[in-house]
Amino acid sequence: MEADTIPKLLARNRRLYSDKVALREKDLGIWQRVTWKEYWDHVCFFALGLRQLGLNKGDKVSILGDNCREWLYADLAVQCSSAVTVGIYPTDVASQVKYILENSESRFIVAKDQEQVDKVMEIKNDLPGLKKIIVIDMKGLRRYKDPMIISFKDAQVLGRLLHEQEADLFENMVKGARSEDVAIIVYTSGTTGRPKGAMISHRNVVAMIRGLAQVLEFRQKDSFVSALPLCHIAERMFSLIFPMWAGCTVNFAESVATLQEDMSEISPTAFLNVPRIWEKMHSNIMIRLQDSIFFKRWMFRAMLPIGERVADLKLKRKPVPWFRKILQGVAYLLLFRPLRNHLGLLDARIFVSGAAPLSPDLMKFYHSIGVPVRESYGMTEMSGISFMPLNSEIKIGGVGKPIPGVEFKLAADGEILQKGDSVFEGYYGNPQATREVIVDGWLHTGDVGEVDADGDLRITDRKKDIIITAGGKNIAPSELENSLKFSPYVKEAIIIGDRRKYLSCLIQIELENVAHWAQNNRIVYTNYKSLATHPEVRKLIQAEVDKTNANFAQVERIKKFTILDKELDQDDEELTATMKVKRASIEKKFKELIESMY
Amino acid sequence: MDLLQIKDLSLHFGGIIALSNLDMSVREGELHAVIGPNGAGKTSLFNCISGVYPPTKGEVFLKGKIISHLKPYEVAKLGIARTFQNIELFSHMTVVDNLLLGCHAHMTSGPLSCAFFFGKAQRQEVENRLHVEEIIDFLEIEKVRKKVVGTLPYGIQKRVEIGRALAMKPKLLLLDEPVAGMNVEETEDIARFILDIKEERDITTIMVEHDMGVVMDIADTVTVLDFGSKIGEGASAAIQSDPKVIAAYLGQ
Repeated sequence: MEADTIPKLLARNRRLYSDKVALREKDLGIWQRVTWKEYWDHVCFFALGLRQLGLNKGDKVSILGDNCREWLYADLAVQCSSAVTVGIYPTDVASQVKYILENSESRFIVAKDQEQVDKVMEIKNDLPGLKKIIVIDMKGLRRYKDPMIISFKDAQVLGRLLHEQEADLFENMVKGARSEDVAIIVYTSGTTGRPKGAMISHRNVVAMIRGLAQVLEFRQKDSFVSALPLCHIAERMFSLIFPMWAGCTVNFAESVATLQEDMSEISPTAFLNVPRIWEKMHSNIMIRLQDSIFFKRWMFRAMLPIGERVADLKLKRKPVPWFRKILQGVAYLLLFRPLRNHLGLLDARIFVSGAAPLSPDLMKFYHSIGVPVRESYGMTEMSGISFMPLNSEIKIGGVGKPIPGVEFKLAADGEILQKGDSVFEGYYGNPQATREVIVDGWLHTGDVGEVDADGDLRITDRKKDIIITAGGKNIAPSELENSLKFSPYVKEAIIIGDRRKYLSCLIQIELENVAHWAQNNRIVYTNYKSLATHPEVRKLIQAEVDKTNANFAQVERIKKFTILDKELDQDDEELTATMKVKRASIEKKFKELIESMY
Repeated sequence: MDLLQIKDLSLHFGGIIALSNLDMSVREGELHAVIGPNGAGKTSLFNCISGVYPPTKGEVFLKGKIISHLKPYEVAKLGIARTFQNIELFSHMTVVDNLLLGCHAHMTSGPLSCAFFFGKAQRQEVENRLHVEEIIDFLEIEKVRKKVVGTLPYGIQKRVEIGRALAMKPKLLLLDEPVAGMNVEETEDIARFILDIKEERDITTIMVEHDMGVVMDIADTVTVLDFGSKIGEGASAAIQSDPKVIAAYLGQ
């Protein structure tokens, strides 16, 4: 049987790795292991349980909740039944959940805990198509007497009974999954308008991973920590698709709050995250450093330039002289090793940033401490990653070459077009939107980029985000924004200036770090608002803005800025579930504030 | 059946009457709130139940067995655990150690096997740790598991104190002002936990609390004290409209 679908890959792994560890989850303070054989059994029982509850081929099943083992069991069980999984962000509010359940015509929903079940209970009367709510963690749900609710375990018991009667049934179901079937629907985060459900087939997924595996070379011994939401395509790749391909181990943290400590216990071999987290890790180091003793600060200041110098040479593909190698070795022992250990990145060999551009300063910092992070380019509509530099070709600001199996070209206006087997099947129930993005087999990404002399792609920005000032100059706001966000005091920056005389900026301060700074400088404040409006804080941010301005040409400089007096929030429609700012909505919401700067 | 019965209980400190002729009973599985103005005798009542003060007159029965003459540690062993109005944790110990200490009342191994940590002592320690980890999971304090209690914020310390009481595997839990000094969010969390303690762990709870919102939302029965005597008892809705209670609390 050729492994052309994810369920078949699971069957293969069960044969190949049977007693090796597939999943770990920290539960009751101990890392609990699940072998590939047990993994298969869990999926088998749940798939048959769903069948008993009335799941048919082609039905949609939504999963709502934080990452856990059961999330993956449910996802695979649905795919093994030739049905379709829809992931919903655990942070979505009831109305957003309703939209996705309605739009995807889900018949079942797997909900993690009481918090998520409450959202579904609120809206279930408007959803006649919904048949069952399957709950993973029944804590606090004993009083709920609704016949629609069934626990995950009970569903598995139903499946086990069926399995005892018909032992071959599940294997036949796995064989029955066809590569052209839609496997998952991933709702795009939707920085503009309503989220759209991108249909991704087994064929797409396998094409993507086949190409990417040639660039990243996964091994069976690799282990990942599942940190981003699983409904996002990036985490789906790391937690589901890569392990299926190469037999790697996936680890789940005890809770969202303990992620950092659990990371250092596991020390994963590969780490993918969004720029927001890379920024956060950097600013944590900088703030902790301010609090440490003089000797440590001195060490950091003395050792970091050594790493910077070596990283520079490496990035320029120049040989590193022997004395620099020795210095680097000393710096590694004294600073870089403990630092990486603290971050939980000691054993890691693959570091990827994706989903949004990473600031060059940040990238340089990580390369200096021996964490060669590389930027990749991907999107839901390409079933994940489509551009990834080889380890030897990492470049600051570049996303490398397309993975094998993907073709690309630039349109006349610089828009990136891509083609290949990993281009998605279309938006669910929205052929109009599909026709707009796939024209003659080429996927129109909506991103603008350019190709350098080595043939590497460099992403400029989102096509619709490009600012054209009143003077006619094209400016990519993300460059400026990322430069600002490199400061530990700036959490979010939104550059304004389309068809205006000059650039201005809305800034959200990083509460934790600015509060820390305020304490050290004896500035009295009560809450976020009073801190954000404090004149001394304005001076602090002004200095950060000036630093950024110094690196840019006159027309690209920020003339005025305003510190937002509220924190941007997903519930207020200002951020997407992946913490990207919704530019259009923010510009509308803070219209008066913006006008006051012109 | 009544889990706890208090008959004609009085407590005097010299001329001061803290409790006088109090009768009260708590059903199994109930969430029973005790309210009253400051100095009404609520904490004195808790101290009588848990054996800190021997009552001047009257008896306390747990499952029909008289407990009012027992020492606090004997009462604890019978399955009554409590938290305190001001946090009484061991502030230089970690959260896990504080919780493990809660299990101590039920340990049966001797000093020798404890000293060498073999046999029964080892087995019991492992069981206790598992029990404590379940409580940590239940109260969602994984993040602070190994932190020293003194360094934690007040709201979390309160939660750890409830955890220590739960570690005693109580039949009856006494909570003395569990949400005092908390913000709205922390209050909601604790109220949720108290409900879960009742529903998930089947533990009967008596709660002293001033936050009327919480009391009226979650309590099954409310007893109102004033100057050491009971002035009202019943379901929360009935209590809210009782003129005597309104008089004692709000003044006429």
